[in-house]
Amino acid sequence: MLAMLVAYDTAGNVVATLDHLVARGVGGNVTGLIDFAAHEEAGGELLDIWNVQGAVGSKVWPEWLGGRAHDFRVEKDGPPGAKRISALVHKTSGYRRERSDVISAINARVAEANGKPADIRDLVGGPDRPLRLDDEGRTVGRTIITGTPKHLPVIGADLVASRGSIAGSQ
Amino acid sequence: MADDLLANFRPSPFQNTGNDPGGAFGELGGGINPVGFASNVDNETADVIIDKDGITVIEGAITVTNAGATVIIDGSSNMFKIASTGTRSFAGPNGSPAETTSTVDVATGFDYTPAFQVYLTNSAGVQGSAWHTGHADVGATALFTQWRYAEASYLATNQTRMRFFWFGFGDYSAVTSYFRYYILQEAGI
Repeated sequence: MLAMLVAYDTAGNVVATLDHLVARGVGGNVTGLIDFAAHEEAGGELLDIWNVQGAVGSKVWPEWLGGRAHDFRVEKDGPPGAKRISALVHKTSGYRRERSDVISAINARVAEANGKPADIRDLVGGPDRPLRLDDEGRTVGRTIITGTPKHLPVIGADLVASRGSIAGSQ
Repeated sequence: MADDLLANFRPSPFQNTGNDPGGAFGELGGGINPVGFASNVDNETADVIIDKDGITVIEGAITVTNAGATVIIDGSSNMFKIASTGTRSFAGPNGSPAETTSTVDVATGFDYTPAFQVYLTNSAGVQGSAWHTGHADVGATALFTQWRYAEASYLATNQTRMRFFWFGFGDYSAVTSYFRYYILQEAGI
């Protein structure tokens, strides 16, 4: 599963994130993305992937929060050697982003898709488009791209619009 | 991602063109094509292959033309790709002058020092200041009071080190700066 890595200090404060890492094979050819979650599930050391100065640990989190991730501290549970981040707790508001809630929302969306690809980007963001959070750590939405000023005429807009109607999903 | 893209395919008006010896690729679309598609229509020195592994253009280019511009992707002029990205935060220095640094080491698979891009972000965690190689604040006496910069370096085989610097005159120890970093691969592949 595609996921984000967070690194935290002794107080649990998030001090760094790693949104994605491209994998490459012999000769440097791209082979895909490193599966952070699978590596963690297999008991792998996240130091194999990255090392953050001053951090005492690194774990997977199923959302992409951009720089806002640094507004949180981590809470972990699980047996020694297999702990996971169970929640991100906002350092000032105390708002909790529960892992179980995120996973439940993902699973519900996948079930709704009934075997077809499920679009979960509004739930978790993505490496290229983190979720947008307010000052208390609540999801506002995906990062909004407002675009160029609406009053500026655009060459080729008609072509793009017609292509979008054909594709049906633009 | 691949499934999402396939879901967006619609039947194409294209029929067999060029070299499709198996005759199995009657229609582009649907994402199902066990044999593959090879075209050698107009340019004898070019070879275009579409199969389950992707699109391969040999001794040619992908040309995309839109209003006002044409972009050509070829194998001779390289481009930068984002190999990895993430964020980093740390508190400032306290002294006159003083400096704090912080590092993030990433297993990029590179055995060389890559290009990079870094942004100083604002308190909302989004890219604020345009910032890559350096950022300086100027005090009332027209002297630099602080500056922040970053470097990427070769750490060890397959390891890239991002190091962030915060140099200042004064006490910034209660202030946290946030950075977005991109490690770039110069690649024709």
